[in-house]
Amino acid sequence: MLGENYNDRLIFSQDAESSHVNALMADNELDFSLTSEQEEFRKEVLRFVAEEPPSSFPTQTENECFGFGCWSYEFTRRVGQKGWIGTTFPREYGGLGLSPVHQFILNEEMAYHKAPWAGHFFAYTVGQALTKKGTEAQKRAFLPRLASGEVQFWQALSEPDAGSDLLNCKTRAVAKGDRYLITGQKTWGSRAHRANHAWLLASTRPELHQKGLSMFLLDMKTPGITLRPIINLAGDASFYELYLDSVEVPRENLIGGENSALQIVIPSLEADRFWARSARIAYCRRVFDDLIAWAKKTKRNGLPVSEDPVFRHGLTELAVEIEVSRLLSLRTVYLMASGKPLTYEGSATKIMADELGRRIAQFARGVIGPDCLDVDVPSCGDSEVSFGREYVYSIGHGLAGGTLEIQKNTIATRGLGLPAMKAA
Amino acid sequence: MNLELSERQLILKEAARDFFQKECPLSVVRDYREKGTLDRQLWLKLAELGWLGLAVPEKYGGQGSSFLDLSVTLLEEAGRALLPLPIVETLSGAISLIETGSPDAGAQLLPQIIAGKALVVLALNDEWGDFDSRSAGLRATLAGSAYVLHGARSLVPFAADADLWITVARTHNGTTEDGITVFVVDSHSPGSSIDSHRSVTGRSLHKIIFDGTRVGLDGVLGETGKGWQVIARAACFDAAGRCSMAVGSARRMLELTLEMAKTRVQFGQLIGSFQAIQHQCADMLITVDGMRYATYQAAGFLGRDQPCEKQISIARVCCSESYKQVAASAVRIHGAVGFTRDHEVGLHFLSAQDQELPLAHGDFYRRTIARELLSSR
Repeated sequence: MLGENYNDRLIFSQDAESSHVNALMADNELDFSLTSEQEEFRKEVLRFVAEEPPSSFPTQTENECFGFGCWSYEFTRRVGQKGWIGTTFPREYGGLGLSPVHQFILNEEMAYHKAPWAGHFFAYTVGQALTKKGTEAQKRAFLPRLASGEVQFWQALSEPDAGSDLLNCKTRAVAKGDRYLITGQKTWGSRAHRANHAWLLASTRPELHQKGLSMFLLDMKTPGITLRPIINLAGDASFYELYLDSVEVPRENLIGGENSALQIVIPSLEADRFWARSARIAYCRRVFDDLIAWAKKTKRNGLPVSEDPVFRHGLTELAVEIEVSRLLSLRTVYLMASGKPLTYEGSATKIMADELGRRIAQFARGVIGPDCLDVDVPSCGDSEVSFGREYVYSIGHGLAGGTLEIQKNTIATRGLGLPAMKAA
Repeated sequence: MNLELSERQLILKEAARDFFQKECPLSVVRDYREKGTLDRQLWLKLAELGWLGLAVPEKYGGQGSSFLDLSVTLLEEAGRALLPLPIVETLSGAISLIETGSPDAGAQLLPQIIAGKALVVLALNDEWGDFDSRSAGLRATLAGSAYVLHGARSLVPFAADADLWITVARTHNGTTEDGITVFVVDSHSPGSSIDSHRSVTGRSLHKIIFDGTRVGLDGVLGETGKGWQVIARAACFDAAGRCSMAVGSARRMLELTLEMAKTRVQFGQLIGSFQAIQHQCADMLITVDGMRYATYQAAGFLGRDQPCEKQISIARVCCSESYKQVAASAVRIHGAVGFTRDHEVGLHFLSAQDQELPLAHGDFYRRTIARELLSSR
């Protein structure tokens, strides 16, 4: 009919952990609320954030406004100590074995409190891939150190000729005994200079095209690697070019066997579309709340900005967008927690998150005025949110992790079953 | 968290869909739009199935299901079928009767409503289409043992077919929420008349003129002067009900659009293979999903008696805008055939324009959201 998940005939199933009984609730009632155990977890996260304020940790990069804040080795280690990097990793590999709902709650609160967790936001995706496709030795070698924050990844996927057409990957991995020699170029690698490992896509059998691609874990200390920064429109060196010149990668670092990257990278991209933005909406909510606080105490022409009907109108439009985006991201988490495959839901939430971010920044710039263009002035009172930066970065967000157009293609084809174009 | 319909809900939903497919084909929809013929027989059939009493408590003869049940099953399917009957109005009117806690009104009127013998509509808007606690436009003065109504209520759907109008009038001076009273008025009351005009969509827009209409004391719902809480609550159910109908209709528009995209060939290709079409469909899907989940949340809160002014307002603003967006995209993708009254998608488009007017346009709900966000906390 309308695509795999998009129909009424969803088989009723209940998350084993959702045994919460609400006296007000009818049986099997459609309900967005979390279980009391999940709410307790949220409270624990809030306690941590109150006791160890995220802003007290040193940072090593700029905030790219994604919702995972700046890179902070210190914060990542601390969160690792609490077990909250490997929240969903199996317990036997150093994780907490909790559900994606817990991860989501954690991400939301981290984003809302502007925590600097860029150093480990990608751990979920790598952890998932290793858990599903890794060998026992790989799981033991990487998962515990990923969970502790010792191992930090960047995504080495895109190339100059492989952007939206990601699988047109030309970086070449040639088998040589117990190693692979990898030569090629990667680009748009966010925070590559901070991570100590790369999640690398390379071609092992070029004649098989997409079916000849392999996934590698690359230690960034390996000889033959050069990184070059690219300055983005906001003036930050947030992403990098990577040059690989016969870099030796041990066979143990090949994931899922040769030529199996399709089965790894496609699901990981789908998940990443959601997880990379699962925090964005909560971060937008924070920015929104900061804007409200600013509007209440700032006067223009004798009136608080919050009384201005034009401001109020724009604000309510955003309030609706925020709420609807939040509900759809809960829907995505729900599917993941129920073990159901995503077809279009991750893409849908990414589009919503990116558009929301852009619209809030655009609205706020209009309200705040020239201050928001000044790089040094926190343009929203105590909040240190620079809406000028937010807006510029929001354009980048629509390109990163799969462009908005690619997301819509995915929704149309995989979600709605619309046909591919016939070759002329 | 549970985001799936229960087996019970699915069964009822399917039964409702089958029923409407059989009993409410497009000819019934067109008849009402073109001739104003309300199908009373169809209303009685709904009553016979017990569906009018779905969300009415058992002690009044209803089935005692939750408002959410009603929303995802009957109301969504009624929206999908473009049911030309005052189902939302009657059911929210019924619920408001219950909510007042006045047992006499409930005991008397509810069984009649559930049996299909009394069609009820809410008559709440002033001549600007506004609905708020100033309740301008209709005054009620006590004269002996009855109230006398002077003024008018606009944009009342199905006014001419209804047996009962539930309306609000100012009984005491003031501009705040105090001093408003809810009345149940027999539509045949002397001194009341209906002024009708055709809207551009073909539907009739009714204005009820009260010129000395007498309403007995038993026609007062709840306490005199304390009607705002009652009617605001009824308005919440009405809003959520309308959202549910919009969801059903919007989903149907998406279905029709996909059918078109997957069958229409131009330039040697299915038009659904062109990116411009694909991207519009993707946007439609996200928009419809947004409507669904905003409505589920609002209906759930309402049915569980949780405070939900903000959730209702968000759902109403979202659905009001989204319904129109989906309708516009659906017509565009259909091409010229969508821009006729012959094709089903065109009828859904017209419904999207109609639904905005009754009760309150988006601004009432936007103001509610702004108030919730910006009041001193």
